[in-house]
Amino acid sequence: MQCDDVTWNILHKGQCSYKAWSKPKMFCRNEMNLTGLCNRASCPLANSQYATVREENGVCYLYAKVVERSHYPRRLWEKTKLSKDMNKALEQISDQLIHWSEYVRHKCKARLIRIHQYLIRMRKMAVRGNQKKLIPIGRKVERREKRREEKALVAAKLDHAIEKELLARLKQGTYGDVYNFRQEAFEQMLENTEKELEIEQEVEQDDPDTGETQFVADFDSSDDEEDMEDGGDGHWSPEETDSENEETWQQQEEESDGDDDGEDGGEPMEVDEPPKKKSKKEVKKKTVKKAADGKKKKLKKRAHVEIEYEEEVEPRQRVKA
Amino acid sequence: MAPKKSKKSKQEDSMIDFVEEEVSGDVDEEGFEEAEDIVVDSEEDEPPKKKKKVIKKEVKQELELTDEKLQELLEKYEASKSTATKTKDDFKHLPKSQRGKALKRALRKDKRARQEERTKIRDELGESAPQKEVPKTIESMREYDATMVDEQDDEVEHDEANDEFAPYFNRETTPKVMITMTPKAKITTFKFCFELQKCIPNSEMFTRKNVLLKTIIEQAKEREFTDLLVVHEDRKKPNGIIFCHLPEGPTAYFKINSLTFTQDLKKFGESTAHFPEVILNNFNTRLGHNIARMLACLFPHDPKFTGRRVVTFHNQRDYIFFRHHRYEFKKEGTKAALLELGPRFTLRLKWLQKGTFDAKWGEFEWVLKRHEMETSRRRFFL
Amino acid sequence: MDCYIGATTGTFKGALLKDNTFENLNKVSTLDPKSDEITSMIWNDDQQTEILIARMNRDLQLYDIEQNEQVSILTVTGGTGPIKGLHKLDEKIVTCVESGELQVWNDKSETVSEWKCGPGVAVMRGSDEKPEIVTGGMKNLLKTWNLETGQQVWSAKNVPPDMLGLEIPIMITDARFIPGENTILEATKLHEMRVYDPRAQRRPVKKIVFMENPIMCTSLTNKTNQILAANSIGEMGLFDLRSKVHPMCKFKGQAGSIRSISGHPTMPLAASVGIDRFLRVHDLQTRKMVHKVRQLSKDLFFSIFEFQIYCKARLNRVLLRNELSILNDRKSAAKKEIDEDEAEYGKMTEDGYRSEGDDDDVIEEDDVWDVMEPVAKKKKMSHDDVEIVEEVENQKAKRKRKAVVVPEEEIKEEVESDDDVEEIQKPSPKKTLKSGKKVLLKKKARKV
Repeated sequence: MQCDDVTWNILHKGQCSYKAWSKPKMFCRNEMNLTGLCNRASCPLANSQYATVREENGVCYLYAKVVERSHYPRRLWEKTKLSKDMNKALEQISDQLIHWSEYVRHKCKARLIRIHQYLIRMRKMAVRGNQKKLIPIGRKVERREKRREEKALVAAKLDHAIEKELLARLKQGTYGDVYNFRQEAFEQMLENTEKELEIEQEVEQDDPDTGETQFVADFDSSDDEEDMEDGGDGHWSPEETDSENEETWQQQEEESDGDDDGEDGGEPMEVDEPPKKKSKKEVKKKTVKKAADGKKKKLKKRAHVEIEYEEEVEPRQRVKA
Repeated sequence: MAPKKSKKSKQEDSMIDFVEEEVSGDVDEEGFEEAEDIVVDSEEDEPPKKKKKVIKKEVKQELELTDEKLQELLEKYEASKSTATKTKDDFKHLPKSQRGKALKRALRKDKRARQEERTKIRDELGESAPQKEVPKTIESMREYDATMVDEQDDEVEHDEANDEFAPYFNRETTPKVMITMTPKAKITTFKFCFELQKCIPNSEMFTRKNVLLKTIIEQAKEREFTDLLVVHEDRKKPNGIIFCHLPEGPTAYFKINSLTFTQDLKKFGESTAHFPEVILNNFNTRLGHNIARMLACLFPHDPKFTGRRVVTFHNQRDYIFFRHHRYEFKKEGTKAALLELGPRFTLRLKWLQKGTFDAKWGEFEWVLKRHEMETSRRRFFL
Repeated sequence: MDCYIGATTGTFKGALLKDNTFENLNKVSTLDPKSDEITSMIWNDDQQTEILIARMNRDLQLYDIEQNEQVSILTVTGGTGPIKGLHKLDEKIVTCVESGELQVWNDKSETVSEWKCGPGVAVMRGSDEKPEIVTGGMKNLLKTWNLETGQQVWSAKNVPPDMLGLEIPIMITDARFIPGENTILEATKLHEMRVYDPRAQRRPVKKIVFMENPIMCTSLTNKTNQILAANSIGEMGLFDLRSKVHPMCKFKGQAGSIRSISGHPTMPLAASVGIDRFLRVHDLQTRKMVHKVRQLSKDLFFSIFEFQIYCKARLNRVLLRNELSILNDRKSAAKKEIDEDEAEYGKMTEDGYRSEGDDDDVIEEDDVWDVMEPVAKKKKMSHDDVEIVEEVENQKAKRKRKAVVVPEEEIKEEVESDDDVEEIQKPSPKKTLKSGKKVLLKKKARKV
């Protein structure tokens, strides 16, 4: 025998496995629940006369409880297929539940409408076809990739690589007439300095001159120099003189070096650069570089050469200001 | 370097660090020796100051003629290569938190000493010194890849001459880039897009407004855009970029890692409107070539050299590092000083698809399948 | 050459698996991918001496393997789009272009008959058993046609709409007759394969779902009920059409979309090509890319070294020859094995190697096993094949060495215990096989 009040009292005050506690209202997890709420009227267990609408694979069914069969839980519900046309389905519901309580009838219809709405929405989304597929990101994988990236960055020696490529391009003559200083000029200049080194004082006088004429003239002679100034005026700040730039560059180099080895400071870059396949260019670059390096070192031993570069700054500053 | 762990495992941590140090240390050593070598060379050219040393050397070289001496030196040289004897047990007297550091320091000192010893032996040996070892790096030990592109390969050349990027390289099209993002993008994504727009000349930025990508592609084709960039975001940060070459594809998806905006750089300059040069480093395989060509297509043909702007895509171990610099040649063209301009970020290729974007029905030319492909740390695809 | 490959650039390649190399059979520099891309390729004859090649500009060419010559036969006219399928039926060539114009040509390059099979054709394939072809494509349901009359024999019906009442799009990428089964297999972009039985109904009798990406191509294998399918991200699976719905195994190695697979008719081997520019040969039994010496079946070895050939261009079509260099030229491989095991096995001469025409033998063997199965079932041991091989080998060894006849129990023991022997033994000629069979039959008879 069904005794609704007794059932409700037990479920309401005692234990009900379908109860779902939440802040504003109590909900019901029973799939046969008509409204989803936990109250006397919509409890599927504590009502002898009960009906609901459910959707299975896109088709709506009206489930009506036949309390006479409650001793066969399997046959407790009477299932009626509803038409795909919503108006017809509503009619069907009112026909089926003609003598049922207004509450159940009304809620069934509301539920049917709601189901139809979400089906329509699903259809729309399917047709539009911009569904996103969510892919989980493995945290460990992410971490590993991050670590490998850091190591790759160290191995890349980006600044060296970029500088190398730029210098190679300069040697190749990609830049055409933009820069006038050439290796020959450079070497010639070196020879001059060597000759004049014997008299130290002369060197100090002569060198800045040579440096000035060459460097400044080249830069100013290029037509787009002004253009350049316009573009980078505010940013390439006047205080940021060449010497400073150079310093930063040197700093960068040092920094990167520090990153790379943590121990050795002044290692030449061609030693453990990443293996590249640009064999031809590379060889050229290397040889040229080596020569240049050698010369640089030669120069470094004599204290004057550095002065040469220092003094070179002044005329440029004047030009810029 | 290993990420920082909790205090408990710090010691372990330091051990790990130490191991890595060892590996990289080998590399440095060689570099160090090379440096030494160069100095010696220049000395031989003109020996004004350190004449004494050179004389010494000559004397020693005479001595060396005896085989026994040579053998002895060689043995000594080999012996000095062996690893250090100190272990963490030697530092038991220290508190646990300091042991790792102390060990590291001691090992470093030891290694340095051995290095110096070796260089001395090298000097003594002179010409008969054993060959310097080639540093073992992940790059030099890279697994063989059959698709490495050979410069003289006619077939690859033919293939490339007929691929989707050929019109650009034949100067039939000029790049025009459209940049957009996911619907409802957040501020950082916009910022990133702006930065991209600054880097890439002739690019336009559009908000997505929940339009389907395929419709965007159609419209972009009509307006003769040659490339489409779509920035994806996750947790309000850009995390991926779809790169679609128009009108025929291909489409690539890159993951964006470690993005640093210009403002967050230590020292940065302001970008100019000149067309930049592009440096594409280390793209060696067939796939890498394709990607490099694709990236090159973003930028106009004739860079303005007076702008001295350079955009770099450097591939190292399948990570593509993006950098944006202004350079200046120094010391009469023997050095180039760099001033960083744009954002920096790292790209990692996830898939390359033939044709314009169609993730569902499209054909993929290459897909990163983690379990199948990432079998070795020394296997790279680009 | 073991494999013939058509590339998207228009190059026609022959790959030699033994040496792990490929060769371009036409000049690369003169090709224009927009007109020369190879869209379809079939064998022109059963002896596999000629190949029919369809180009993007709808030229049909005949390639003679022995002469290494390419001759243009005809140019397909009418309709639009590239040739999507070729079929050869006693001196007649059937072509089908994308827009649905289906033409039958006789050996004088004249159109015999012509009809339309609907637009958007993606595949046209003929049957080896009857004069029928099957067509299908985008928004074009599967249809079979009688070649002699030009009439439609059967047409499929689209699967019922999904739960939302939406029509399932028709996106056929590949279709083929399953020989001996009278069924048709269809692959779709909806990562689903469907098996149709024209005798029973118009809707599929079976659906096989594979992964999550469009299936691009299918292939037959050496076993009648097993088929191969591959999808657009390079996942390839082996399926059994009889029972299992999920793949029997997945093959690894491909990085990108697979455009074509070609299974060997008698060996458990399959070659696959795709736009990741690699030719790969998989062993269907070990499920790996074959790269070492392995005993293939009963008494056959083959030796392969790394079967992954980089072909430098995106590849469209592949044809695997029946006679493979790795199968015929097993001497080197087997020799190696022998060198290793010479001491153990005493003097084994090279008589045992098979000459050409192996494949016929294999088929015969298969037949033999079919016949024998019921007998074998009575026995407790499951590995009948192994046992028989061993018998054979032992027999042969006995004969060769002229050794004292070993009692039968001993042989059996050896068989059961010594699994390694199987790997190392070298192939035996057909004759000995037969004798071995007899022995076994006799033995079994005695037991019964």
